[in-house]
Formats: sequence, structure tokens, C-alpha cells
Amino acid sequence: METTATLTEKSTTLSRLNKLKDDVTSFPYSVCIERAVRITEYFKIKDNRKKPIVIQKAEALAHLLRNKKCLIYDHERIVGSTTSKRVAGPLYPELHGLPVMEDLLSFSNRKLNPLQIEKPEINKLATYVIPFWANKFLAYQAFSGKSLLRFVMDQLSPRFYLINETGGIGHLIPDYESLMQKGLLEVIAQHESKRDSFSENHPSHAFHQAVIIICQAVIDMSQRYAQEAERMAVCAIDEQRKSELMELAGVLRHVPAHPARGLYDALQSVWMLHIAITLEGLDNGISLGRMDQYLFPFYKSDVEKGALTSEQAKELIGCFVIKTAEIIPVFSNKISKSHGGFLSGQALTIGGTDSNGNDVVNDVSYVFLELMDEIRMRQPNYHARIHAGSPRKYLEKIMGNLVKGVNSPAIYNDELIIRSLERCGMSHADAMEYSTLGCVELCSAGKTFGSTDAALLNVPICLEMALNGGKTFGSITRRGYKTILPSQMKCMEDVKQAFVLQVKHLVDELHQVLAPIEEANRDFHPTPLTSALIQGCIESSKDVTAGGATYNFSGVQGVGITDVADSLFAIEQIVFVQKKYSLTALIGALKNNFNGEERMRMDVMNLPKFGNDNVAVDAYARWVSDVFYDAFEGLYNTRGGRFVAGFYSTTTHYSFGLLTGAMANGRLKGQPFTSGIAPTNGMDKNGPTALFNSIVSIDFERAHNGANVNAKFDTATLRGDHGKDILQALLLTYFKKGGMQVQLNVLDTEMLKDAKLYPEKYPWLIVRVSGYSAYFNDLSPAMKDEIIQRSTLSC
Amino acid sequence: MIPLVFDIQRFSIHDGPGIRTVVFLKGCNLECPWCQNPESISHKVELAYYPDKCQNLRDCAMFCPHGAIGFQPNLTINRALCTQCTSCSVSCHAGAIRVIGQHLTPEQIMLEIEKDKDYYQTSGGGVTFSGGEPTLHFDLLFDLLKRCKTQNIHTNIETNGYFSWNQFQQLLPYLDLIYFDIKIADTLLHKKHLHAGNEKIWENIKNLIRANAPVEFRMPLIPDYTATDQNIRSVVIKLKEMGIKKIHLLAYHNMGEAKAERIGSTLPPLGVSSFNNEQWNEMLHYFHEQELETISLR
Repeated sequence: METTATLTEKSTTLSRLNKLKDDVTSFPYSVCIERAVRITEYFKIKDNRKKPIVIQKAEALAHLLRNKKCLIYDHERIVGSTTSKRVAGPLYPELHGLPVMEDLLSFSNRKLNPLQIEKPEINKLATYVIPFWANKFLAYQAFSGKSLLRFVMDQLSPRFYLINETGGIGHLIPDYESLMQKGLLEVIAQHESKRDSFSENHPSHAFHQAVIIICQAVIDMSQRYAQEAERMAVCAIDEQRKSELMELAGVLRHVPAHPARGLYDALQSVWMLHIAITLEGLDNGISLGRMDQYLFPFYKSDVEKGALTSEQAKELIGCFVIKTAEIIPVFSNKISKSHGGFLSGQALTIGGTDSNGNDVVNDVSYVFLELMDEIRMRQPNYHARIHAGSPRKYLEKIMGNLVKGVNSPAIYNDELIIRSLERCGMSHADAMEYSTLGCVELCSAGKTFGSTDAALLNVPICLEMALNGGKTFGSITRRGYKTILPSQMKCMEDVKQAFVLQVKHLVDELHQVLAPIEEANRDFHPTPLTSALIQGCIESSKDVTAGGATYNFSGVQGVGITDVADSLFAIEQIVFVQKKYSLTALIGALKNNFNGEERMRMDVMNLPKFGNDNVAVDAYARWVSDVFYDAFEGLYNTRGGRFVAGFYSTTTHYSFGLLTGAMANGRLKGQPFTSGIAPTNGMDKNGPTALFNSIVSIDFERAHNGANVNAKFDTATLRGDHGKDILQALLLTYFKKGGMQVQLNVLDTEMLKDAKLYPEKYPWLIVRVSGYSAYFNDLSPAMKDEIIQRSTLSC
Repeated sequence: MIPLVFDIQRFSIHDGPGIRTVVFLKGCNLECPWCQNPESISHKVELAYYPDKCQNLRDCAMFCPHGAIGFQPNLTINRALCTQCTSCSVSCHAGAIRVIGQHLTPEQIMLEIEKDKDYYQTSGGGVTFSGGEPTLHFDLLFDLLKRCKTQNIHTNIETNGYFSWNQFQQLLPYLDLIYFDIKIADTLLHKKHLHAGNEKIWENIKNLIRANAPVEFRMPLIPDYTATDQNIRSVVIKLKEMGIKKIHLLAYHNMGEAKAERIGSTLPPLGVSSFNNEQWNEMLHYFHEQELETISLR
């Protein structure tokens, strides 16, 4: 009897989750103008604009939260959304400004990542929102005159670097753990007493006041959702739904104002804050942190008390994770090229250790491992921490997911990452309890304002300028550092030296360009709600944008590292070792995109490439990554935090590649670079052990911002228990040898080819792009080809 | 005869337990018509031509001192004129002509093997010597096996069983595993298809069992050749006679045919197709009925 009961229960759980999933996946990606209109309404009132900026920000967001539509959808148990549509992206005119609005009219027609928007909505934007913000958005305020023009032109089609901070800084993990323990009323009380220690015209007074305003607004929003739930309960015909809605109303009345009483409270409380913080700023990497850890006490006590069965608990958690897939970003056509597939980085971390190094995998970790298999949606980004003491069952479950083609979780090497974080200034205890963030980044949850996605930098273009006296190929004006001309280069050291100078020059330039943007964030876009949930801000009485957080970093990604390594190796071989071609002849061929030099191109293409365990090539990868790390040594942001380097590319390896000339590894002008820190597509021919050996030649302890390694296997290789065991041995050894992270695509190439031809057959197909997953159908044809081409690592 | 290596394949996961590196030695003493590695048969260096890589630059023809390369209109290597001097391969920018078979010193081979030592240890893997018939290069094999054992690397050998027992005995202390092929039970048929009798092979099986060697048996199931009802029945009877309880069954695929074409092999295409699921399961079923444990590799 008991078995039957559990089975029925299990099937209802799955059926609710399946219904929710169907509703979310079948809803067309849309744009919602609610945020844009409400925020504009607030700022249009002149008197509002006389208040301290932090108050303006709090009140504007409060205005939105108090007026936004509170929608509760069928079958939902966790409620709240960032927009008035099921799956939609809000607009942030004060942040992204015109660059996103530019292709407003074509949102629904564009081929790549189309977005639904209604005609009246477009009209409202065109007549009401855009005119007001045309000369007030963040980048506009960061720069003036010529430098604004240059910035806008540069960033419309980023070639040297892509800056992500002009939409605000949202790559962080709020302190959801404390939120559930304290509740917002307690946060308000703390800020009230802190506020009262400052005189009324002190800036810190305004800061604390702003936190109070916005926290109260979040509580009020929750109350409005409660009202809606009560209203719907009255109308509900179905008795079960009626009681569900009443229960929901009770939860919403209680949290996030008060501490959570149980699992349901905890999840709803986090979600309410999550959507509010998402609405505060544009940059979309608000992550969830170590959810298995902070949910577990509630889960355990609810299950032990009998308040919930484990199936009911799992259903609630499932309802929560499906909500994360409702959040999408709105990018312009041009930005979509750099961040393809509706990039969104709501990372969710499981496993790992406590601050003493004890393993902390628990029942909730397993719930997530099951849900990622059973639900399989675009979000959240599931990341699993692994260390020497990770339980066997946990590893088996992870490998089981991977060989089945779930492609989640991505896995992270605790031992190396903890050392890395300590090296960049994190305390031992905080490092031990690190969380993952965004795509692949690392931080101490609730304590870090890391701006981990500050910018991505085109490293190959530094080599291009090094080979051309500081100019890009075909350019009359010099953009880079004035390094010696190739005709004066006598040995490989000269080439390397010129490259080092170009990297340093471009990094310094980026550092200088970012400073006014950081200051503009501080002066025009403080984020009091974020600051309410980042430790350090209350103690320092400062907003996160002003450096209030315990830890401050800026993360910059190096894109195309391995293309440069392969190219340098090729230059050394054919010019200086084999002496087959002169350096000037090679550079002439590069400028000419190898036209008429097919033999030369083949010669360089046939040289060993990164990813094959070739010591000489791998040494170049190590050297190039070290040059990149070195360029950031001693650089600090205006918040007093270090600049740290990382290696992931989202899809900028494609967009930067479009704008970069031919390279000595044989890559033609305009072709994509390699993704993350992977070898050139199809060039790793010695299997995964060789690939991993190459990868660990890079010193990841210095990649404080994280790195992304994609490994693709076909389903056939990793079949069955045998495949699981092999995979586990392979990945754990890779970690032991100094790997930082790896994510797997387990799928067969034929299936992908078929999916490209018949997209309608594969609406569910998810692939790892670069640190995040996307529906295959959302990718551009070129990206699809790349995913298909990415070498299959089987033997 | 200088032993040649024609491939070293890493992350092999079907040639023994765990993650393995397979060292393929060139040269064979049998000539199975279904051979999956036709480039393994000859003891000499061979040249493989990859038409899809060819850019039609014709440097090869210019550099060939023997006039062995012609275009009619597609590139063909006249194997009768070719002396395997490899000028064509060296001159090819596109990498369309490749040399098969490299003379490597034991040190060089060990260097490749050692690269994945960490992976062997965590996965319970190691090295597998395959071919061709690896036992033909006894001195090299003996040397390599000893080196592996001093490094505590698990060793396996894939053999066709056509070896001299006196020599093979000396390898035993250094072998952790032996994958031994069983093909055709009937001596006449064996002689007909493989150009050699099988008496020595069955004798060696007896020797290995008597020596209590860590041997496992593998049978390639080739339609019309080894996978006939008659042959399967006879093999099973022999296995049972010898008290063998487990057999690996290897499915036929015709990937070898493309390779044969590249090297201009005289091995004619076999002209059989691989088994479908139903046929395969039927065969498995028979082995199970006969109380043999099977490991199926498709």
C-alpha cells in the first residue's frame, strides 16, 4: 500500500512540474515595458530628481514594485515575476539606454533570439520612454563629448574589449542565507539604528534610508501578491487549488518580512528578493549561491516534523527552479552576437565543504541532482563542487547525469579554487565556503561585490598589433602601443616582447575606461537593495557601488588565449626554427588573409596545436595566460578591489573573431576564436586525457575569476556503468593535475546535425555554450556549426 | 626487421579495464579477410592517401623520385613503383599523404605511455599492446613490458594466439592480462580464410590455461566467416571442453575498408554488412543458453 501511495505522490509531483515547465517553455520570449514605464514615471517628476541619487534609485524601484502587476499562474506554488509576461525581459532605459532600444522595432522579426513585443508597447516606448532617457543613460553620464562618442562607437561593435558594467553591476550573490534567518524587518531595523547615527545631510544617512525604503517596498510587494493569492482562492473552484492559494497567501504575508519558518517560506522569500534585485540592475548574473546548504535546515526540520514529505519538498524546490527560466535578458542584435542564446547566469552551487573542510553534501544536494535531470531547462546554471572528500554517492549521481546527456552540473575543483581565492585575498574560511556565480565565476556569497563580468578582452588582437607596430591590419592609425616593426624583429623574444607590451597597453586602457564607468555606477546607479544583502555595506555605511562590500573585485576575461598560443608556436616554428618563411613574408600573408599563400597556411595548420599534450605548444599557452595575468597585477578598481583575470568567452570568441585579422595558426580573418580555454575546433586529436594534460599546463590558481573548459563526448563512448566509472576517473584525475572546472556536452554529432536541419524536432535540446546552457535552437547558425564541429572527444 | 609503431591511441576504454593507452605494432602473421586495421598487416612503412585533405597542389608528384604518383585525374600511387621513401608525404603541405609506421625507441614509446599514468592509476587502466600481432616483436615487447612493470603500470596484450609458446612464456611474469582471439574452430576453414592452420592457437590456449595465466578470450563475429551457426557451435563446444566460462564478442564493422583503400591494400572488400540488433541478440542468446558469460562490444 505504502509503495502505491509514494508512487502516486511522485507522479503528481512530476505532473505539476511538467505542467509548469510546459507553460514556461511554450511561452514566446518577450519584452515587457512595465519596468521602463514605471521607472520613467518616477524620474519625470522634477522634484524627485532633486533628492540624493541613492534615494531616487530606491524610490524609483519602490514605485515599480508597488505598481507592478502581481500575477500568479496556474499550478504555481512559488510566485513572483520580473515582468507582466510569463517569460520576458524587462527594459532598463536608464542603464542600457539607446544601444538596446536601437533595434526595438525589429525585436520580433530578428532571426537571432527573436522577442515578442506589441505595437502599443513600442509606441509607448518611442513616445514616452526613449525621448526622456536619450541623453541620461549611464554610459552617457560616464563620459562626455569625444570620449562618449568613442565609447559608444567602440561598444556598439566591440573589437578590443566588451564592457558589461554600463548596465550596472549585477554579477553577485545576495546574502539569501541571512535574509531567511533575519527577515527584511530585521534588516530595516539595523539600518534604522545605523541611519540615526548620522546627521540628516550626511550621505550615509541617505544610504541607510534608501535601504529602508526599498526593503519596505519589497515587503509591500509580497503583501500585494498575498492579496492576489487570497482573491484567487476565493474564486477558485478546485478545492485543492483553493487551499494551495490560501497556504501561499500565508507564506507571502510572512516572508520576506520575517524569518522563514520552513522550506516553503525560505524558497518564496529568496524568490521575492531575487526578482526585486534582478529588477534593480541590468547585468544579469544574480546567482543563488549554495542553495543546498541554506535550504537544508528548513528541509530537514520540515521532513522530520512531518510538515512535508520529501516528495512535497522536492516539488516546492522544483517550482522554484522553474521560475529561474522565466528570466531572460533583452539584448540588442549586436550584443546578442556576443552573448548568444539568451545568456543568463543564475548559478546554483551544490556540494563542497564547510569552513573547516568537512564535506557538506546533503539531501537537498541530491534533490537538485535529480531535478536537473528531470526538469532540464535553460536555467539555473547548476554547478557542483567536488573535493577529495566528496561522497561516492554524490560523485556517482553527478557522473550518472553527465553520461545520460543531462549536461549538468558543471563541476568545480575545490582544492584548486580555494587556494586561488586565498591567493587573491579571501580569508581561508570564506574561501572554503565559496560559491560559483554567473557562468563560471567564483566568490564568497553575500560578501562579494565582484563585478566578475566587468569586461571581456580580445587577446588575439594584441598579437595582431604586435606584428604590425601597434596597428591592426589595414589600419592607418595606431591603436596599440608603438612596438618595434616586424622588420626589426630578430628573434622570437622580440615577437613575444611586442605582444607583452600590447597586452599591457590594452589592459591599461581598459582599466582607464572602466574607472569612469565604475564612478558612474557609484554616482548615478547605486543599488541600495543589493547593498541590503551584501555584507560589509551596513558596517561601512556605503553602497556596494561605492565599495561597501567585504570583498571587491573586477573580473576581466581573456578571450582567444589558445589561438594566440598556437600562433606564437607557429611563428617560432616556421620563421625561427625551420626558417621556411621570413617574419615579414608571414605577416604579409596574414594581412592578405593567406590569399595566394595556401601552402603557407597549410604548413601552419599542420603544426601541432594546443590540446594534444604537446609540451612546446602547451608551454606557449602557459606563457600567454601568464602574460594576461601579469597585466592585471597591481590594478585596482575605484572600489578598492583588485582586478582579476578569468577565461570564459560567452560567445565573444565569435564576435571578436569576426573583427580580427588572419592569424599565424591558420585561422582566417573573421573566423571565430576558440571558446573559453579550449583547443581550436577539431584540433584536439589525442583524446580527452591529452586535452586535459594540455589544459592543466595553464596555472589556474591565478585565474581567480574562473575559467571555462568544455569537453564534448558522444553518447556512445560513455555508455552505461562502465562509462560512468571511466568519466569519474578521468575528471577526478584532471582535477588532481590542476584543472579548475569542466562542463560536459554528451551528445552525438548526428543528433546535432539533425537538430540544425529540423529545429522543430528538438525544442528541448540544451547545449553548454560557454559557462552557460542555451537551447540549441536559440543559437545562430554559425554557433550551431561550431557546437557541431567541436571535436568529439571519443576514441 | 625493425619494429614499427603505427599508432599510439590514448583514452582507449575498450581494450582492457579502465583508461588505457594502446600501442599498435605493425606486422601480422595471419591475414584475416575482415581485418579492421589493414595498415597493421605489412611489416613495412606504408603511405596512406587522404583524398578529402588533398588540395591538388601536386607537389608530391614533383618530389617523387620514382614517378610513382599519377593523376587520372585523381591522385593515385603506383604501389609497385613506390619504395616508401616518403618524399611525397614530406612535400605535401596539405597533410594528404601520411606515413604509416614509425620506428620509435622503447624510450620514446614509454614517454607516450607515461603521459597518462595518473589516469591509469585512478581508473584501474594501463597499457595494451596490440597490432598486427605484437608478439612478433618479441624483444621490443619484452623490453616494454618490463619497463611498464617497474613503473607499476597495468599491462595487457591483444594477440591472435599464433605465437611460439617458448617465447610467450617469458612474457607471462610481466602481463597482467591477455586478450586472446578465437576465430574459427575448424582447421581447414581456418587455413582457407586465414592462410594458416589453428592447431598452434588451440595448443596455446591449453598452455595458457595450464599456466593459470590471466587470459580472456575474444571472438570477432563476422557474418559468413566466424558468425556461422556451425562455427559458433563448434567454438562453444571447444570453449566448454576447456572450462572457459566467459567470452568477449566483438561486432564487425566495415570501417577497415576505408583504411584499406587509403593504403592501396590488396585486401578485397568483404562485402558483408554488420548485424542488426535482433541478429546480435539472437547470437548472444545462444551463448547464454550454453552458460557462457558474454561481454558484448559493438
